[in-house]
Amino acid sequence: MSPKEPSSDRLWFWFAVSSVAFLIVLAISPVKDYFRGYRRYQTQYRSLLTRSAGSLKELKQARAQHIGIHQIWLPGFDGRVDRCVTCHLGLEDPRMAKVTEPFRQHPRTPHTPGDIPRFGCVICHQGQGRATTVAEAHGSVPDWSSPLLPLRYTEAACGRCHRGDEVPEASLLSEGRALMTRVGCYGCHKVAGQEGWKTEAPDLAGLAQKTNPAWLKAWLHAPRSLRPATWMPNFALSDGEIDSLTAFLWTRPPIVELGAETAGGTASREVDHGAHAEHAQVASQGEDADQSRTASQGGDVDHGKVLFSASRCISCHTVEGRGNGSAPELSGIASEVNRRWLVAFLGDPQRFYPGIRMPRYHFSPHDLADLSAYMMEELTDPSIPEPSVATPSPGVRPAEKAIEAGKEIYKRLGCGSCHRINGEGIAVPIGPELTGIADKPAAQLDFGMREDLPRRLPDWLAAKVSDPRSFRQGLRMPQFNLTEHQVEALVTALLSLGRDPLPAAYVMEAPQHDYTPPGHFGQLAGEYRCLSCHQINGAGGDISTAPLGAEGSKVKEAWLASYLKLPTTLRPILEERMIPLQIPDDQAAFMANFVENVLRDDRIPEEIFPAGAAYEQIERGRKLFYERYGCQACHMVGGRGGYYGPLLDGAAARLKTGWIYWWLKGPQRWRADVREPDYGLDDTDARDLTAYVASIPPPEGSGLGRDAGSAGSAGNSGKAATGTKRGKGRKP
Amino acid sequence: MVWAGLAIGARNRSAAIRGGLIGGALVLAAVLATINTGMGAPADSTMQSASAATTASPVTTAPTAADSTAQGYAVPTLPIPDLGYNAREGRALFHHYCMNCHGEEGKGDGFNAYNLDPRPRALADSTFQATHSDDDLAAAIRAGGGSVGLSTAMPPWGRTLNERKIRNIVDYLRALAKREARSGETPAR
Repeated sequence: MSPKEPSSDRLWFWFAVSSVAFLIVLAISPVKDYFRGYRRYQTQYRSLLTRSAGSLKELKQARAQHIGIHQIWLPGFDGRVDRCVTCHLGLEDPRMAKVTEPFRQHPRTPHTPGDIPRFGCVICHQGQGRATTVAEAHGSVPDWSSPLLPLRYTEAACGRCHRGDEVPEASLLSEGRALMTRVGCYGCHKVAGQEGWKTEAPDLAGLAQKTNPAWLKAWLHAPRSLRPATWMPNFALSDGEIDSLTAFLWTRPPIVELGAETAGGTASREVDHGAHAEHAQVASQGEDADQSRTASQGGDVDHGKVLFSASRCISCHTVEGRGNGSAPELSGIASEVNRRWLVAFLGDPQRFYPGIRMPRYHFSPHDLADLSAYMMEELTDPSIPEPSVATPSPGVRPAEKAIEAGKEIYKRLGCGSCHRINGEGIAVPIGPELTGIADKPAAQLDFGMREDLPRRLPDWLAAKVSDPRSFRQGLRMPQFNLTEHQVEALVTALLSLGRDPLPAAYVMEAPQHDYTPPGHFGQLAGEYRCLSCHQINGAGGDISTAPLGAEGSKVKEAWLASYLKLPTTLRPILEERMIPLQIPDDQAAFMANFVENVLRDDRIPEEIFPAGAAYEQIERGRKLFYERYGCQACHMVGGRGGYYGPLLDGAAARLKTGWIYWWLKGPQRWRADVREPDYGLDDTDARDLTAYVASIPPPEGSGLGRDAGSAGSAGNSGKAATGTKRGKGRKP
Repeated sequence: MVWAGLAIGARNRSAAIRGGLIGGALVLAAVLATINTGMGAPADSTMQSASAATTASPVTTAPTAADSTAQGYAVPTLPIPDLGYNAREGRALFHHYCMNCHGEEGKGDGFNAYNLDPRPRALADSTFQATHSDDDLAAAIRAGGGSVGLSTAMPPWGRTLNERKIRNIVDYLRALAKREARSGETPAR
């Protein structure tokens, strides 16, 4: 070797150093990837599996666990890629039920575990599906518009695909959507698909003949102080505003002039009655009006009290909080309404409010006098001054200036969104549109003075709904008094109002329930407002648990006719019982006949014992009833047993044997949420039970026995089932 | 930069030394920095984002990889509401199907309880629950009281409620018992 050349050595040295440095640089990326957070989770998961492995096979499976990005690809949903399963590894593994996140098994929902590959994760939970770090995936990064949906509002996600107010298995969402309808959100806020919303708030025409200014002012001041359960929100009006608004409302002319009616009944400004605008109807209204003049004086308070309670007002209204609550609280009503108006209203509510859900009772003038006497005497609100003291003479007209100012307030606050005046809404919807609110980025929300709130949409919505005016001065949205649970339900419903259209395959349209009873039956069903409480083919109210779509296959015509005239109590535990509308005989017979022949379900047999049930069958059925199936736990027979289900005394007079049998074979076919379980009865058991139930005699001396007489099985005891044969002879 | 330093080093020794040192130090620093961010940052942000995205439950500190091996098994926990999804669904079902006999709080005091002999079980009772597994409870719901030698007044629900719903009801019963054990606390949402 020649003498060392120092510079050459140095060169070699630096060459070596730089090579190492180069290798290190090359290694940065793999090393960085190796230490990514998700790999740590995956290693942990693998060791968790290894440690909990119960068999060699499980151990091998655990060892074979692939480390790397896992993802769900949804080609049918805009090519979405959800990588949540990279860390959430135990979603479908029942062994992971009790471990902590991110490995815990997914809760049992209608869509898990089977549907995870079909839907992915983001569709329900939101967040950023493609991200692979925790912060980015959960979406709590700037400019990501849909961070992870808080778990308490998870049901909101159901509502993105499932349209319609009633979403099965999502009770909070369904409650929230029903609340939005009931509270009246759609009155002020436009929401796509809710254009058909109808207000239930009363029309404000003719207040001067209905109420008195003292009550009106107290009401405008604080509605809940008069009726704690009212949906009317508090607008926090000043005394001056209340005076002006009262002046404006007080001078709105009535739809029906109480005093100006003659026997013809056409002189007044009556609105069209639609289905029941018959000549006979109009004439009878005229008579009623005449009678109302006499009925608004005197009256027997004691008889009125009996009538009030017998009329089952609390099937819809509440009295001191007791009752269904779909209709207004009645205690304090005497301080609100004038007696003359009350009498005319009770005579025919639909004349005053054509869209009202209240049916027309056939009260006689005497009944009206007694009933109104009782109501005016007993249902007063002591916080309201006596009308006679406060009421100005109707002839005194407030100053025009006050009326104009009141009209401005009425328009500005959007009163007309809910309260029409003579059918007209003076104001247009005044709130911002809520379609797509669920996808609004938090940065676009006005938090105003609410510095306390986290900058997130769900918190903003919850605050907005529970305390709307805390955001800024001068906001118009009024104060709704909602419970914490109702706020949660409303926010859930609001968070389901997404903006982006979904692929058609993912949209679950709600079943359409349009049923209008036809013909003369339709007119009667309209007058008696059957669909305010009952449902037919999915359309109608939910006050009654009994849909009527198959009623003709269920009950006997003769029983129904007598029940329509004078309903008996089938479920004594319920506040909401059938109301005695005092339907005239011919109408009751007609309606029963229509139901018998039209409202039927062809799956249900008519009569399963054409030749009568054998004694042995009945006795075996009795044993099954009491011993094998414990039916008396819920059904009362002869005064003994539970009162969860309907009374079964005299069931044969009411129910067709084919129906009882069909019912026993699967009650949920009638209505999905029926509480009587499906016992999985075989044919013999079901027939024998039917034989026994149809043999249960009516209680002695009961109204049921009397009514049932016409059904042909009253008074039969042991062999009463033979009586049911006669149910076969129905009218064509 | 390293190669530049090398090229210069061929001609100028001291410059080469300086260039090489600076280059190596920069590379090392870069490597350390990337490894650091790759490992440490996600572990911290896990907890913040998780808690931010759900509820205001207490935030536990993020264990490092070393912690998880030392303590056996511990991973970051997502805070969940008082009642999980299962129990919430179970609660809705319990209120619809069970409450009228077993009582709103599972104390055996529903309105129909007083017509029944024997009285319905106080399901929330913690001693009762301690002696019955989830499978026991589910079996009794599924096949009724008669199937476990008790009153037939408790009907079989196996054909009315599917397995998921029955399991969710069991979950809610467990939550009821837990709440009774911590008596005095307000009911879970």
